[in-house]
Amino acid sequence: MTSDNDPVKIEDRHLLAYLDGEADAQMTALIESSEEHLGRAAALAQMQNRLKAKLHRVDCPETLQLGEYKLGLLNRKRVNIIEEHVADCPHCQRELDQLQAYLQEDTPQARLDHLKGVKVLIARLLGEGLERSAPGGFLLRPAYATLRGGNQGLLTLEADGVLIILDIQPSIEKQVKILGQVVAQDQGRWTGATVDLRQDSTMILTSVLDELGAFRIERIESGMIELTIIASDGLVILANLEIRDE
Amino acid sequence: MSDQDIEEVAHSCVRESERYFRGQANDPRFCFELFRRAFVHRDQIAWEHLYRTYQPLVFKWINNHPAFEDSGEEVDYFANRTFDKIWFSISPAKFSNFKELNALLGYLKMCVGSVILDHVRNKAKLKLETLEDSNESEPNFQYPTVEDQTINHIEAKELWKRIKECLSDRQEYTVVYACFLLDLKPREILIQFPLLFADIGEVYRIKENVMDKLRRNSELIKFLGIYSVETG
Repeated sequence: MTSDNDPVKIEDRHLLAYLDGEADAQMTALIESSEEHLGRAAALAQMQNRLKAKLHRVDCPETLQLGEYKLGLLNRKRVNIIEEHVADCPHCQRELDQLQAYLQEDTPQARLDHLKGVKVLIARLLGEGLERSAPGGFLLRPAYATLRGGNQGLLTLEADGVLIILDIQPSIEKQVKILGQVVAQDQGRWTGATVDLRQDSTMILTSVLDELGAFRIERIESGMIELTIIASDGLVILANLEIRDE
Repeated sequence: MSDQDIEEVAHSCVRESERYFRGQANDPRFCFELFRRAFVHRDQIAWEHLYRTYQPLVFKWINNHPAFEDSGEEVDYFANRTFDKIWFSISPAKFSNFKELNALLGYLKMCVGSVILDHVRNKAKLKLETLEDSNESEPNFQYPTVEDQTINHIEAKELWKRIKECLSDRQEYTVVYACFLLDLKPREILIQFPLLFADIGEVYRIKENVMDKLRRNSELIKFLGIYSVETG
């Protein structure tokens, strides 16, 4: 559609480009010289704006779903739907990145996730024997690591030159407590390291190494335990053992 | 622990949480039990204890969120929405997915991120709605009620369904989807979907065609509240 004195026919695509600031100077001047063109552009703008206002992100997953996706809580079908959507949606891509960065800050689980791929050492028990008694009638038995006896009441484990000394003592109600110490040439590396104790893959207790590398964990039930010591630079030592109530 | 008095569990949870925040050895089982009673038994007292115990942590997370400062809202506002969100999101059955306290706290923190993103999304949508009929650049943000959001969402879904029925191919679908759902301009569409279009001129040509098609759909125009559009 053109006005009487236009040499160029102004199509809607020209007006749409004009609204986006994409029209060149000549086309802009041509459009702005005509009330009719400006009226058509305004009508197009109104329709565009109304569609945007109504439809804005109507197909995007809810933010909670994005979060649950990030936390690995969705089933395979939902995961596929989210991934297919996110591949084409820069807003959801950005939100997922923001959630990822936000969730990675200072939660213990995030810290562990963050450590995926770092060096993990498996602690081995120093000494002889595969099974030994601890005071109070508890029996310690090696799980993944080969735990062998040291001095009475003390177990010494070793991982790449780092010694972990565990003093396992009976506590109340058939529980035990562990007084531990990490000894290493680079002792400073281990100050403030986190010690997590898990049973059946569940975090039961957590502690922190002091300046001497000591830690204390109380109220441990009998059963398989996994001790994870995470240095501030990401080095991880794992020790597994079983505490049996004899 | 499951037989323990709720007040004892709550007291132990507070004590162990304080140890946790001081970096001391702590036992997370009491707090986990408190969560369990709140979500599995829907125990109101357990829930109130949880709220009190974790409100300072939620406040800290909100304050640390990069989008909080520009949100124009108070910490309390997001904290209340965070607790609402987790309360309605974790059903008794869903609780079985959480094996330890850290996982629950991770979820609580995710809810903080989620309510702030909701706010950002709603603000962007409101801005589009306000700009639709005026030149106001910074609308005053008023969080829509849940009812309003639901009605608007159902209407929008219905509208999107009708529009999709008018589109004939992948290119048309992509242009409409990207322009009106994602608020992308043709130049941005070309970048986001580089394999679908030869150049920006093609994107404009397709946009022109589909807008013409939509404009001729009287039912759609009525739905949009546009009665006098005649541009071509």
